[in-house]
Amino acid sequence: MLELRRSLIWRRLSLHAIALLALSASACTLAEGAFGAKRERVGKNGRSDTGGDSNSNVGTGASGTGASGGTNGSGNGGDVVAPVDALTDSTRFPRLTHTQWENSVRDLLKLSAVPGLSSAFTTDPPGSTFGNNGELLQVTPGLSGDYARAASTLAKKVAGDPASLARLFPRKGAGTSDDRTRNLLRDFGLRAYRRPLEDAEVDSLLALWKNGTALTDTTDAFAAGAEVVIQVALQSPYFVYRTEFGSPGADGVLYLSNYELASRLSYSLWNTMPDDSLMEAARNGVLVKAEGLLETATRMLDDARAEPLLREFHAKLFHLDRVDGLKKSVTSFPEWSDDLPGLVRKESELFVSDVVGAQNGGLKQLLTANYTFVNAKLAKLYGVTAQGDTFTKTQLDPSQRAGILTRLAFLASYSQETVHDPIHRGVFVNLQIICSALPDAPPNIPPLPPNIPGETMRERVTRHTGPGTCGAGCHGTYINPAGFAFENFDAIGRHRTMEAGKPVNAKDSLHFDDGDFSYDGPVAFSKVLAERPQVHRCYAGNLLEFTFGRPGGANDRALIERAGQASLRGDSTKKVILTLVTAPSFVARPAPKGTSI
Amino acid sequence: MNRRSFLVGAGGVIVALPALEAWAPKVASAASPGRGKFAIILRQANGVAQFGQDSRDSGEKYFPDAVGPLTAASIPSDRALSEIGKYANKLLVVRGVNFKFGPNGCGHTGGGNQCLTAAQPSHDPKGNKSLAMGESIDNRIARELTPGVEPLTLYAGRKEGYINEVLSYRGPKMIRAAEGNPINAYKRLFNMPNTQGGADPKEALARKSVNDAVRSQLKTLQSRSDLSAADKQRLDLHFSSIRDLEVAMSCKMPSTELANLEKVSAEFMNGDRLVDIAKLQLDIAALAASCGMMKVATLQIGDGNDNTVYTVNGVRYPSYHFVSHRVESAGDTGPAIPGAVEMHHQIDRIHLRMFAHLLDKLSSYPSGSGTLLDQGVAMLTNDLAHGPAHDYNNVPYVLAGSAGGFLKQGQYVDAGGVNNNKILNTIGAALGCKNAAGGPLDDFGDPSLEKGLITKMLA
Repeated sequence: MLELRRSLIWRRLSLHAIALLALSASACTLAEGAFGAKRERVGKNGRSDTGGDSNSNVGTGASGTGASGGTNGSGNGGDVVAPVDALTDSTRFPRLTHTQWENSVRDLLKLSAVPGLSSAFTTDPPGSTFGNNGELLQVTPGLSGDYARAASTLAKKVAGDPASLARLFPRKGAGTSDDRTRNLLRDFGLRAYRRPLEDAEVDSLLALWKNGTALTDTTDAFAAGAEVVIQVALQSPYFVYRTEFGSPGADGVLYLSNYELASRLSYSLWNTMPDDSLMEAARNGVLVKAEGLLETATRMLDDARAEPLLREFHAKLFHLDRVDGLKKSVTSFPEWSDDLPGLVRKESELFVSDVVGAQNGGLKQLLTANYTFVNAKLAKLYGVTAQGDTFTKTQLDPSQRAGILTRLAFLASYSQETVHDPIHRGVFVNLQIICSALPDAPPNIPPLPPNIPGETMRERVTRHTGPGTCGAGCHGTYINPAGFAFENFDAIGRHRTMEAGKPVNAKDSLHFDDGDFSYDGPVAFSKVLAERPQVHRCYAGNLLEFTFGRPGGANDRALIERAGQASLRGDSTKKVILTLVTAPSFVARPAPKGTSI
Repeated sequence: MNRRSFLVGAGGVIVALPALEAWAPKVASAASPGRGKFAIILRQANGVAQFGQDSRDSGEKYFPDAVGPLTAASIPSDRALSEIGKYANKLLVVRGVNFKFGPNGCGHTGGGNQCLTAAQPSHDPKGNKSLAMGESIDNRIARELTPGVEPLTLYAGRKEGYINEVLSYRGPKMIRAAEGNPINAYKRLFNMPNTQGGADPKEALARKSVNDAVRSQLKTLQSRSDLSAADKQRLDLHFSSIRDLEVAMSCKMPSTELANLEKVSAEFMNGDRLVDIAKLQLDIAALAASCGMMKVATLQIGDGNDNTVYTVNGVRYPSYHFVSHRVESAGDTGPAIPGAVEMHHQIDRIHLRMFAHLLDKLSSYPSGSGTLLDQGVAMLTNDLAHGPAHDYNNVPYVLAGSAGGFLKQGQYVDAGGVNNNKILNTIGAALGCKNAAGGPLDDFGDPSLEKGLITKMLA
């Protein structure tokens, strides 16, 4: 009965919360439903890789009839018949990423900085866009050893330093009675396992604590006990995994608990363990209520701790790591120097942080804003003026630059040492911005033919891959039109109007799923991108993968569509994330197979 | 510090606590081998005293008379292989394997180049400096199955500089240095800052207590009835990882053996101690295999044209290389060495006794219902076939252990004159290496060679 009530409460409140989220929307009110999951990979643009019907997994709600998908619904926040999301199953044991491990250790042990030990950990397998796909992250023999050594080192360090130990296990008064130690262990265990400990678990830790002097070289019993308990905690599956079991509602759907949601939110938005206020919210049962979840997530996104994660997401999405250590020909580009890669990356990070942080903007601004942050050195490359080494917010020529794709980071890193690279610029835009389903490149691709004197790069690429060549299918249709939009920029990202003695030709047309769109130059192209539903769906799909720690599945189509539409309407990145983390598929898992409703 | 040493470090061997800034251990990221299939490969130089067309060879002194099942009785006592007769039911002796490519000026380097690579010898450099134009099978096994964990590359004997290491290649012309000093190999492998210390007993006890607690938590999670198959596998891996780690951390030589290791290692450059050094190196390889700390090891016995001087029954032989030529020189001419064939035969027996030492060692480690020998494969091979001819036809391959049931046991088979890429494919496949299509490894070595395994070797 309790479960039934919880399920219904969630449903009602969820509707209300989602309606709150959609206040700025015209007609996009959504309700939560819960249906069996069908595991099927879906493109980040929300379109099925298998080309199936996008509504095929939207089914009937437990309490009535489900709609057929899409975004219909009255939006009154009441008992509407609304579109529903099918749920996606995924691991109950997403392992902490190494960054999350670092952050969690810092916060759990109350260190002033991350320990930095994970740089030597066993590298996680490739295959994850953002490095946080819980399905791929496992505790291998190598990592088990890494954890063991790190735990031993950290436990000794903390236990051996009275101030560190006191922060973690305050000694109050005299004596170390079992009851007092139990209380310390309950407090520490709550933070380490991110949930209250069972009495038996406390007893187990207490037994280890009391055996501390026999197990360590520490003579002080209190410190020795702490040392052993820290070692256990840091290797515990409850620490290294974000266990997400949920409990079944009346509809059989598995709803994450308050504490599980606290962890899920915290790692999704702060990349670390929950802080005291989140744990308090969990203890008070706030998070399983839609309003509570929304308010908490909003607070978290406005907190400075969200900034690193937003920066990381965009850095990975926009491949900013390609800038690191970027080399250019000193002959062709004497302006390029070894310190420029760092400056260029910092510029992009400042720009992204300003757009999604200070300006509370979203993808539209990322693609179209014509300001950036430069110091004197970067200003020269942009053709503007700035003084000194300090980065200052500076307007760029709006006829030349619009958004992140017209910044030095993308333009220079998707160029070769001596010449720009329209093919790979085009591939990047297709894969990262549009989520085009480009097939893998065939093997044994011949290199570009030698340059003919007086030939532009566009002419050379077209000769190699354009109409009438074997590469016309992908290159001529998708890759080249996107890449040619940036012909105004050389291999270090400077703007130009002439190449090889000819006027630059940056005019082209590209097919999107809502039609063909023409443009002349990078500014126009960026504006075209900023208005395409496909582009916003792509962004939403990437945000989902990043915040959920798993790629979008077929059952996420409706949510991705909804979040993409919100982004297209102009919602900020934070607001799109709120759409995602307050969605049913963030807070619940499908009913186990065989569950009858 | 490498991956293996880090594992042991976790057990507390490294007790000093560096400052916070220096906490990060300087280890290579790597996958842990875990205890599973493994290969230990010994290489003898200068061919063997076996029957051949060359008049300087004599009758068969190495192989049994006929292919078929092997028993101790089926190996005549005048054959070198009788030295390992007691392991007859675990042997797989293979004849009919050749090296495809001719040498570029030096038979020794040409053979060494191909021995574990089935790759062509380089044209530049050439002669005694020629190098293999591809990676070796130990590198392939380690690279594919335990990325980041280097193959264990060991050596016994002097390095005279003319042709030193010949076996292990990271890639074309990229030969890997081999460790000739056993104590260095041991310290590096097991991360021992000194050989007197060992793990702090208290810390080992703490490790066990912590592991017990973590295991108990994992068991609680594993006992849930609502886990997906993938999550069950995830927890099982975690659980077994702790077990593997414990095994690795418990790895150390008994103190008496360790003392002997230190003592003998002091003479690792003394050719007269070659056999002792080789046995110690094999002890280390077997220990590492028993602890799941490596997937593949090689031991090169003697340098490229091994000039070791052996003493047999109190008689000091001429240089082994000269013995293999049957004359007192490194070529075809010179004063004949009386009894050279018998000498070569006796030296073959010495090598087989080293191999027997390895088999004894592997058999001393229990594993499942059998021993460690059943779990992996040990192989003695050569980089030449016949002594005097210095040729590549019918290079001896003596294997023991089935690699977990993959290889036949108790058999002497004729591969029918195949190139050695096929036996390397078979060993790689036995350990789990795959070809590009995901099937058993069948395309190792020079791409011009016919692909495939030696099916007669498969169980």
